[in-house]
Amino acid sequence: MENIYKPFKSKILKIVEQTCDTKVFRLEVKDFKYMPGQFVELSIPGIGEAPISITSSPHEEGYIDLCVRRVGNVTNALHRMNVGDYVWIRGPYGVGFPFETIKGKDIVYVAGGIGMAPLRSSLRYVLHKKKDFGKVTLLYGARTPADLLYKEEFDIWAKECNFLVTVDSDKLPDGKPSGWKGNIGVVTTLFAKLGYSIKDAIGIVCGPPAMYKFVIQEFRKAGMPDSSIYISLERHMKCGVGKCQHCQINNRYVCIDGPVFNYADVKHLPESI
Amino acid sequence: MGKKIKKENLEKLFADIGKEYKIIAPIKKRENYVFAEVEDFSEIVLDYPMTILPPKEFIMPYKEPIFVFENGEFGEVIPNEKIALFALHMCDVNAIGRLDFVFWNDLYYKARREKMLIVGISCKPIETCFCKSTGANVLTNTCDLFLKAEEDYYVGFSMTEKGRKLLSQLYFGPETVYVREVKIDYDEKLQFDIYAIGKRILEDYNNPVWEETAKNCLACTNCTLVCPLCYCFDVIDETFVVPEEGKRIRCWDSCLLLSFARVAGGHNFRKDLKARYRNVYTHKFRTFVDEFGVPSCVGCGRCTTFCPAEIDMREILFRLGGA
Repeated sequence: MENIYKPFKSKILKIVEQTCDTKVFRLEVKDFKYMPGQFVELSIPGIGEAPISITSSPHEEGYIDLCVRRVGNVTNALHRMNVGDYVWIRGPYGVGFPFETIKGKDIVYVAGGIGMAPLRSSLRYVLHKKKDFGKVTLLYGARTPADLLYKEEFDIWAKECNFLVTVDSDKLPDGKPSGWKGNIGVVTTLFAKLGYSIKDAIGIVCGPPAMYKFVIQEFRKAGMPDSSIYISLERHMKCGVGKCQHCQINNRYVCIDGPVFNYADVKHLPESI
Repeated sequence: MGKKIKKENLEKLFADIGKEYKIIAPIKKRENYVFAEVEDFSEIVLDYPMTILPPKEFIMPYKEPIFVFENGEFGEVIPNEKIALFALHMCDVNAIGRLDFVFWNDLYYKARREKMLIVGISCKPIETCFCKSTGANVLTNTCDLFLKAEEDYYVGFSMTEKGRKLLSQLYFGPETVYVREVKIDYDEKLQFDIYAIGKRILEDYNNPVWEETAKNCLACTNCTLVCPLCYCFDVIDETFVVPEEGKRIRCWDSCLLLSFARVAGGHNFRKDLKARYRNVYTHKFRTFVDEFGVPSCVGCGRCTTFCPAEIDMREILFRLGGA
């Protein structure tokens, strides 16, 4: 009988430092099939296991990228590791973004902070299959200019989609000015700058817990029905296979029913967002 | 139909099982009863009212190693013990049957469960029992052998091949006894419809009962620990001097604990005890029913008996949907 909790060994191929607390780790995998929005359980023996969403796109083969902020035991230990070191992973788990349903439609991504990680996977996939989708927009917000992830891809995004970015504050974490010339304000302030109707588009949201309801309000104001909104939810999935109960939201499991949910399906569930 | 076994012959059945299995049975411990390893038949209390802990600890131990880290590899720790759970009440038997739904593909659970023998026995319902309401008062094939108490003998029923082998031994019979039905029947203290309650429990989210109960609840987790169907767990790595040598441990957890729904960075999706307390009910009477068709409660009454704040689950269910 297969052991559903047993991870496999994976080599760290590359590490790209994104911000002072976030790095992208490229891990070697073979025959690893996944969809954007899914996650893996990442293990460091002796430290523990943590669920991490995949940030690369399935069209990239031979590796997966994990964009990791150091906030807990496992992620802190991972940040101390080097290229050539080994970690253990199992997965992929959960259901990702429903590309069959959203094919041919316009997409509006709204990412806040580390919520960029799973959305970057989806965005990368969609831009790779551009002709299968309509107009693509990315609205991205971070706390300060120093917290922006994937800055090296901003030029590509600006070229290939409608990309708007904002920061809550243009001060650096130490309070000094950053020289930021772009938008200032929470991510929802970008809706006013869209300049086209998103009524028939698909809205995809991932960010800190407090962000969802404000973004959903904006979508609704724009005339988008709840069934066109997809949210990727964060929980501490300890087992990843629907048993440990840590990610349970009433009668849904984030690890097997999510992490991507259709908003119309979960809006009646208290504690979901 | 079943086969008769005289009371004095139960010891022979016990000895027979003991040849192959480590026997876990109810014994008296001070003024309470517990399941423990038994070597002498005389230690067993066959007419016990209720044990403190259910027998779940013998299938999913409070703390079990699932991996050992050896030279940087994940070595599996597969349990290899043949355990017989002897003299279980119908509620505890059926709780194991419902746990089977959850852990059918869990290597560790399966390793114990497949080698296990379960012998059920009649009970006398006590004041806190409500197994009838949960549908756990009937015989199922979770039990290999069931002993129904009559005046001065028992009637044995076999539900599996393991049970049939025991029933064919000479200490059973030779008479065949016809029993109309094997179920626990009694008048429960409060009447409620558990399935109806579960169905609308999400609409009952703001029912004042949660707030009121949370005020008394100590979040001590007693109720979830003694519950035969509370199975949520945490996974922790334990290390010794060098982090590369240690174990990955699975241990019981409780959704009543503050840390249960907390995520990295500190956000807590069930920060209030009210939400955590309600979660016990939404899981038992809604989530589990949605998943497996039955509640993850067998009405054993332990949560009520061992609550230091004297919270009675039946009273809450009654308020949510009393008939």
